[in-house]
Amino acid sequence: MLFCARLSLFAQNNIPVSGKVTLDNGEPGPGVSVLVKGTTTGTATSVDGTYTISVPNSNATLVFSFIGYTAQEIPVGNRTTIDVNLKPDAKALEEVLVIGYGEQSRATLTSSISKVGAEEFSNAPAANPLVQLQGKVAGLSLQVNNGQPGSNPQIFIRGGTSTSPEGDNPLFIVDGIVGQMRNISDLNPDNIESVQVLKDAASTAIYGARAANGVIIIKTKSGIAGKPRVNFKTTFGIDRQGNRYDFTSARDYIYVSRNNINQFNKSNPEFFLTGGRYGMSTGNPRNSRNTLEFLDTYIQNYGQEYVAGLLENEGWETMVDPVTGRKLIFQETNYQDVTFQKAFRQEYDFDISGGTEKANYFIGLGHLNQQGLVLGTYYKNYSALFNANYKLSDKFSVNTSINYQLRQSSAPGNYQNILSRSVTMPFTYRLNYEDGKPAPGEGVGSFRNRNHEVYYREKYDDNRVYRSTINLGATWDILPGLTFKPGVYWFTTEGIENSFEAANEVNANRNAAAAHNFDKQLQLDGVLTYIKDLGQKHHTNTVVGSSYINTHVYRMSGSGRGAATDYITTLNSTALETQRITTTKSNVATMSYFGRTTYDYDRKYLFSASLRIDGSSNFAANHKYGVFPGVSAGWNVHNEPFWQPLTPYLSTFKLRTSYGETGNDAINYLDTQGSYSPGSNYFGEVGILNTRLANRNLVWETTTSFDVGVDIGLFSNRATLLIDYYNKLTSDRIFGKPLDATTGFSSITSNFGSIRSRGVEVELSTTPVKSGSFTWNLDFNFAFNRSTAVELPENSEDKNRSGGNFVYDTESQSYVKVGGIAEGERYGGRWAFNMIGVYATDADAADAPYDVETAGRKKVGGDAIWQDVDGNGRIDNNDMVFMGYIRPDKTGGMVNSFNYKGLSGRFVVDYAIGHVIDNSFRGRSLASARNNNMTLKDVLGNDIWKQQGDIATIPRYTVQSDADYNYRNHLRAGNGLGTTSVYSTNNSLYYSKGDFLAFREVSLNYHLQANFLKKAYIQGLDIFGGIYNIGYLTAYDGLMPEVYEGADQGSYPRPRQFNFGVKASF
Amino acid sequence: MKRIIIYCAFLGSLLGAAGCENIVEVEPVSEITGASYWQAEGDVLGYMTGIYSDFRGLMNTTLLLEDRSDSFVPGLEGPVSDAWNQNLNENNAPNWVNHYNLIHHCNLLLKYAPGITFSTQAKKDRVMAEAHFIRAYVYFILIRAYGDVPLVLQPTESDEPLLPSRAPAAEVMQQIIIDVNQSITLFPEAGFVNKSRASKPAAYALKADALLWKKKVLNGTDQDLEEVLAAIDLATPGLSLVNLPQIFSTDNRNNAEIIFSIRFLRDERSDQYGSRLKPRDIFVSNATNKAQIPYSKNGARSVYNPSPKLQALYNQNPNDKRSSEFIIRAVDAANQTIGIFDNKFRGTLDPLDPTIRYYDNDIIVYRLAGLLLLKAEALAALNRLPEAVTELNKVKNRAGTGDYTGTMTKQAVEKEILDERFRELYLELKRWPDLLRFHFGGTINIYNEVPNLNGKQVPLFFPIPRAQIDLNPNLAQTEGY
Repeated sequence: MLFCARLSLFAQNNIPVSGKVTLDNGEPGPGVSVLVKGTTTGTATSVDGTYTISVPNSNATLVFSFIGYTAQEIPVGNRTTIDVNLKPDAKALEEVLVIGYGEQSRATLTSSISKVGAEEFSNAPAANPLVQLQGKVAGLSLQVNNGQPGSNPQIFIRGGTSTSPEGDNPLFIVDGIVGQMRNISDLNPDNIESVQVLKDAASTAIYGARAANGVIIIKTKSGIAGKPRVNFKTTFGIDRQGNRYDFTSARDYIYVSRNNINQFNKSNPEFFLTGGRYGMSTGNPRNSRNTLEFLDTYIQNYGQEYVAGLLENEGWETMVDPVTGRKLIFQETNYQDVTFQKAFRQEYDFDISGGTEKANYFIGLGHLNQQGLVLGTYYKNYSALFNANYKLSDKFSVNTSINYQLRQSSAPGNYQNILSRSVTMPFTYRLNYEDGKPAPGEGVGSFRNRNHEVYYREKYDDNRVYRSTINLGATWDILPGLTFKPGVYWFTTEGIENSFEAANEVNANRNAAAAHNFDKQLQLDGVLTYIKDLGQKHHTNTVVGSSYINTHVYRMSGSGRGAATDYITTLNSTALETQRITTTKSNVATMSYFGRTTYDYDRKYLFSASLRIDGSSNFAANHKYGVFPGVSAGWNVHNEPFWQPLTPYLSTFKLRTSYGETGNDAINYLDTQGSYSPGSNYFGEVGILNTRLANRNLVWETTTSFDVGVDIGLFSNRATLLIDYYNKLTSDRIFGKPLDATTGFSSITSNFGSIRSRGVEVELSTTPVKSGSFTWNLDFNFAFNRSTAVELPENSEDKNRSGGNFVYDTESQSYVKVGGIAEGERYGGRWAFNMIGVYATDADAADAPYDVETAGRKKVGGDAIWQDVDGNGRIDNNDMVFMGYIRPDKTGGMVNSFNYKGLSGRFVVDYAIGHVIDNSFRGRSLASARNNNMTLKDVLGNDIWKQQGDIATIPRYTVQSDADYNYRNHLRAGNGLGTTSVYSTNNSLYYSKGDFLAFREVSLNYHLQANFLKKAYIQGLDIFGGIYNIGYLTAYDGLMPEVYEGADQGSYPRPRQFNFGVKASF
Repeated sequence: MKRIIIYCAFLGSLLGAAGCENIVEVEPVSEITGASYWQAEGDVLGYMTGIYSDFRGLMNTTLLLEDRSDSFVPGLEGPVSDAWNQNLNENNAPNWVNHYNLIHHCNLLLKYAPGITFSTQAKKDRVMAEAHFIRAYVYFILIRAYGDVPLVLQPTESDEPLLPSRAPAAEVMQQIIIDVNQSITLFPEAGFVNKSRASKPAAYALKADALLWKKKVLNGTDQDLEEVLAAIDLATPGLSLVNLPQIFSTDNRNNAEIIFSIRFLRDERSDQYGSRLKPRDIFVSNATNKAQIPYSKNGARSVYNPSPKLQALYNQNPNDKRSSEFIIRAVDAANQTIGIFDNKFRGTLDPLDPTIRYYDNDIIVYRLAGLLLLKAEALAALNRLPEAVTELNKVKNRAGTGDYTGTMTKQAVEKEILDERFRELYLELKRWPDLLRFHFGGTINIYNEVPNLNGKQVPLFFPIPRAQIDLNPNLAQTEGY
């Protein structure tokens, strides 16, 4: 407000002009810049689009400009009221994009860049802004396999550059700071102005040795000249589990488990039925961990009255034991309900922004408090952002940005223990002891009743991350067209973690641990830009610069145990002789020089070339520097005179192509030098061993990519279509080259071989309906990617295959090696034993082929029938058959948005096609892994074998562990062809297609502008609500089909989110 | 234009100010590169400590040396190994990478230590002797498990692998003897500095062990047996048999019977392999003798139980103290057996919380009783039966079973020595090589002796992973797979 007052004070003019600016859709245009042409006098419209300005005389011309709209120049003449209706700039094709170290209009762009705007982030319920990119950018794979709030998704672009692309994170640049995914993960989504994804090498080459996986540039909001604008938003949400595991009741579990033990276990049935060892065992006295016991034993030991109390007041149940015919008593606790909770979320965002011609500012404050679906998990975030620019003179301005984030979170300590084990605890285990304290369930140290774990351990967890970013920069307009922009960036991340476990019956030791992590990064940039038009038609833009980045990583961790009380939870309370502490430090420095020039002739013929030289401390002396060129060219065919007749239909037709090289320096300095590391201690002495082989010849991996694309605009760009084809070759691949074990090492970090990703991307953006005040915008994208290995280290194998194993190929009637990685083949394939039925009777099973995995166990009725593919009477790895690939090759999404007066709605879907999933959660449950699993409803259904003569599709439920007791009807060995994790079935029964269509968002927003609000100084009020992650259209029978690792072990599901909020503008 | 050039020159120097070469050099802080190691005595001593640490890891399994024998039957919680099932193939073959990793470490030390000046020659000799010992021991594990194995005596220092083929076991044995003799020569003292590290007596013990294998499995000579006897006499001065329960007890480590043991320390490493023959608490909650059972809430998993065959051998003599000292039976109120567990490696109760037991017994590589029986075995092989029985009786008498009273034929005495070794040394990683020695020595037919081998014709040496042959085509698969 101060700035505004000063502005009008110094205004030396005398004709007041006022008016209202409306946008194309009829709504008021707030923040539109109104400038007296040829002067520095200007203002901005208020929230209702009105403005007042004084002009020197009637010859003055006013310039109205607004991002995304065509600027209008209107001579004032004798008018004192000028209303303006702004027309949108030719939509996406004309948008201005942030490119590396500069900006460029979409119209002259020759590389492949996708943009996601603030509207995708503004009302989103996810704590992590990256999640909002899912399905919005063609060619960007975003995989969320973890529903923990705030957790990072796996992101890779155009198939990545390695054979396990999940780790191929792009380079993230947040307001100029070059870094990793962590730079953005806690960023307040509300503060994001735009996210741009640089996909081809011509656009990323300017980031050199770290850009091979693509670059994502995030820009936060900044102020616009005008009156201070204040927004306050509060959001409330509830997250719930979308799908649930289909467990039986405790009663059915007891019945089927005891009955099957009795029927199928001829060696030690008593061990399972009695003694309190498992969930289906009796022999559990009052107040023990398991509640199952014979009713008469209870009555005899504790009296009729006590038992009556349990049955009448505490929900205990009785049933007839299928084995003895005696009555059983038990209490049911649904451990799925115990483990997963209804999670609440609250979010508050406040921002204030404004400015004058000389200065602008944006201040954003945010707080999010979100519970996770898993009991005891949560995510809290406090954030503050300050962005400001100040013009010191006509030639010199400074900018500063300060960003602070505090994250406090609690995530599951061990996902496997909780999500594939605690959830599957038999429902007969006791939830709470009679004194109200949590019981541990089965109570082994590694996993237990989630309630117990939270009560004794996780509630003491205190994990905080503090991030601060400070950025000071300047812009010096040295000469017309020549600008120098130096910048200093200082970025720190500090993590303080404390954990403690109170004494309890599972762990009485009071284990305590602490960690202190400190990362800091210094970045110095200097960029010189020269923009020059030679004559009317030659436009050039040249950038040269340098960048220095030094990253320092410090880790400290300590542990101890034996504290005397539960009241002091830090390490100082632990017994001295148990205290252990360790620290490590490391440093990486890179120095880079870069340049780029773009040229266009009359906006028809477009050309751009860039070059980057990168030096990295990760490499040995003779390999420190690398050179990364990029070139691209385009032709705006629609600007040619001969195109004019077509213009009404094809308003834009641009052809573009690009070529470039980028690198990946993701190795450790020690990979080049070899490492001797401490830690191999013996008898209290510190030992050091050579833990890594040196490879002094290591260089960065180089990705060379070629892109050809076309931008098409139809009917005055009412519909725009971007199509790209890319071909990306990653060579000198950095990978752990397998070594003959007699070297003493299983692998050495090497450069060798190449892999290729090729694909097609389509982004369609249309406005199918635009009538009066109703608009429907539809954005659709599709990407197809095919990644194959091209060249692999020479070995004695066909196609230089590494990994894999032999199977029988029925076509060629020979044994062929498949799987692993081989030249010319798509990777990520999975093979499994092909279950073709279930032996109905013992007699049917008598002639079963010999199964190498059952250690000689004789097949009987109810065992799986495996396809003996090679017909040799022996079931082994040669009989495994192809199931599919673990990663989808076709992905995309669709965003629909509707506007009707103040009401707008969104409907968002995304999809992935082409992957298979091994539902190993279901497999392990039916396999009774660990002998002690809650049963799924499958065990009662008609598909499972229950008795001699049953024609079934699911082998019998043995209660004795399928793997431990060598039944191997459910869980089979991977043999180098399945998923390596032990949590996989390698059984065709549990494989299914993972293709899905995800209903990601349905939301509504109502924008209210009314006089009664104005009286309360409220300019506008937005009321919004939506449902996110609504569900999937899929054939997969697990909780969610977003599983790209081959096997679904039991996941932290993505919650279904309900979101409501109000946003007020002042 | 001139001004532009001046500006550019100025800015260029600003941009390039940081551009000196060493700006992209960093010095590692928390790790050391190969280029800067091997400078001083401490580097060698620290490396040797690391070798012992890895040796402990390598030895902490029954997979290669006991699973295939008749020591175990499946316990309360699986899964048992493919080796136990005698179901080994190219896909599930155990990889020997950790063995060759340790050999690499020894090779590295043996290459660089000679060039380093030590404060005393004795220190240098001792550390060299230890490295020769460990290398010999690891090769001895390898030939007993796999038969023929590649012989690698130089450290790996380039990414171009040598791709060696498998050397005949007899050739590897030669190298083992060379290393052991080097070790014996180099150890500066005749006795022990620390029984948790190798020593001259330990080297003699290994020599005796290796030569007996050479004689019986690799077509050795009676001269080898004479050397076995000589080595054992040099390995055992000053040692004595201690009372049974005290051999393994964690408060009586490195007692008078021990020659070489591998130390476990709770916070350094405490999951000794014996934990795989111990029950979790819930399995023995109904046991009337629960207090005596070395169960644990965490860290125990009764994958195996001591075999009925072993129990029968203990039961041959009702006075055999080992039937209660070395194994323990959990029984319920109805006197039904819940399970049978190892009782040698009982671990230690947490002094802060006696409900927690952790398994930190030392792995005993050589102890006097084992050497007495080796001596008996060598004497019997030389047909010096009365002398053999004298040695055998020392072990029997300590166990309370009295002197050997059986037939005095070579066959009978040798079989008794084998059985006695089983009774005395089960779960000490000796049983499978013992069976092989007596099988190749003609005392038994291993296929009849080991229940799991009955009626099978599977090879007696382990296969190697197919993947290793793919990586090194010079490697041949173990015969029979």
